[in-house]
Amino acid sequence: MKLNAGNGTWFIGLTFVAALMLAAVQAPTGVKWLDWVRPEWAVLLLFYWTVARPGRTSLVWAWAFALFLDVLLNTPLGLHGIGCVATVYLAARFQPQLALISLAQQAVIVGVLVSVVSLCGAGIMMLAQGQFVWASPLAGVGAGLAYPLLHRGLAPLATRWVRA
Amino acid sequence: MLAALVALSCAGIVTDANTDLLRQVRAALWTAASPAHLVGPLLRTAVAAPFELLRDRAALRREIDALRQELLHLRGVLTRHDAVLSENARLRELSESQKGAGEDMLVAGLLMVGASPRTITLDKGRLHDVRPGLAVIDSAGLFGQVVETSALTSRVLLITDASHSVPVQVLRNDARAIAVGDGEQGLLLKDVPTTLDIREGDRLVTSGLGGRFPIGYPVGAVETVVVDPADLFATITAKPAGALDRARQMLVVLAPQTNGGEPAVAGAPGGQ
Repeated sequence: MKLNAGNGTWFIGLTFVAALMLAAVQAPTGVKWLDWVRPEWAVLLLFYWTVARPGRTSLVWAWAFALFLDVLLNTPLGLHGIGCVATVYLAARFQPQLALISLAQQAVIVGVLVSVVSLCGAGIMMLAQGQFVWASPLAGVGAGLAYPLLHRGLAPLATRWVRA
Repeated sequence: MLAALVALSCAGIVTDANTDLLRQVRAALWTAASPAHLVGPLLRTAVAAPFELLRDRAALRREIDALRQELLHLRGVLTRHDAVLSENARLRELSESQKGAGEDMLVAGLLMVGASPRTITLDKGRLHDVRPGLAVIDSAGLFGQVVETSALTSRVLLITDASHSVPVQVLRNDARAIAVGDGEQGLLLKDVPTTLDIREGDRLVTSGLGGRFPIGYPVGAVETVVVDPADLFATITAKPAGALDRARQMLVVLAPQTNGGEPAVAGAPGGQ
């Protein structure tokens, strides 16, 4: 990602700061089930920006960003990095195809991606810590539902602020 | 590049989960990211604000009256407490036992709850003199100990985490044991001989042995005692005294520790 104030980098950065904040917010005691369907905002954003503005995200940047998620969510350093780097890699590799398919199809792909990422994360945690780690099977559903909203919300702002 | 970053991640995970080598890196990153923790409480306040405005004036009046009465009652208890403290100090001097009366406390608010390992994140950090190894309590009993700090926040390993253990004694007869977290909501008393006199309902307090936790804080109450004649040790479970899953405010005990600052965590993953 080029640090050029004129091309909307600040806006992309701002969305990732918001993703960090959303990751650190927990559901109130009465509605704990909301945590089960909590979308992985970071993965959603990385996917969105990589598809919508190819070349504006990078593997190294995604990995460095994921370190902040690790310390906020108390996971070993590098755990979120694998998922974030894989997301950017896949989205960049198949960007021409992904940009052409419908929003609903993108949402399904994001849902599957988040499910795989969260299951892999839980598996790696179990290997690293030697104890059972629970992964929500609904994380992918939450991500699939949230992606169209994120896309609809960001697209007009991206058109205005972030140059392709 | 992809392979290099994944390999770097794997190396980081293994190092961080099993050693303390990345503790400084984690602390620096956490300090930079910790303002993100403050959004949760702000959102909560924003959501609650309209409901607060709509609350009945009479209900608020009743609540203030109840709180005033409680304050008066607690002040009354405190006057006796002061007398007991000074008497205790005299007795300690006489018996030359462990010092520890009059610990300095810091009020901290809850920011976040973690499930695996069982931790909570507090809104006080190194800038407020919080450091790894300090005990955390609420008005009812022991919560756990600080295991990781950033400048503004700190993470507390709860006594119910499977990797946490605390030396306790039974209030009734001073029988000593080690209370280990069961990984969920309760505690297990480890390696207690079947001959030791521990009964259901017995109250457990910190014994102060090992110098990690200050002496005399309530830890929990014995729930079940199962004695299997074929086994040398009894199976004893206890329920924590502190409201581990409800409290939003707690106290960090800033008393000077007797042995360094490293947390006493059995088989602890790095910084977890």
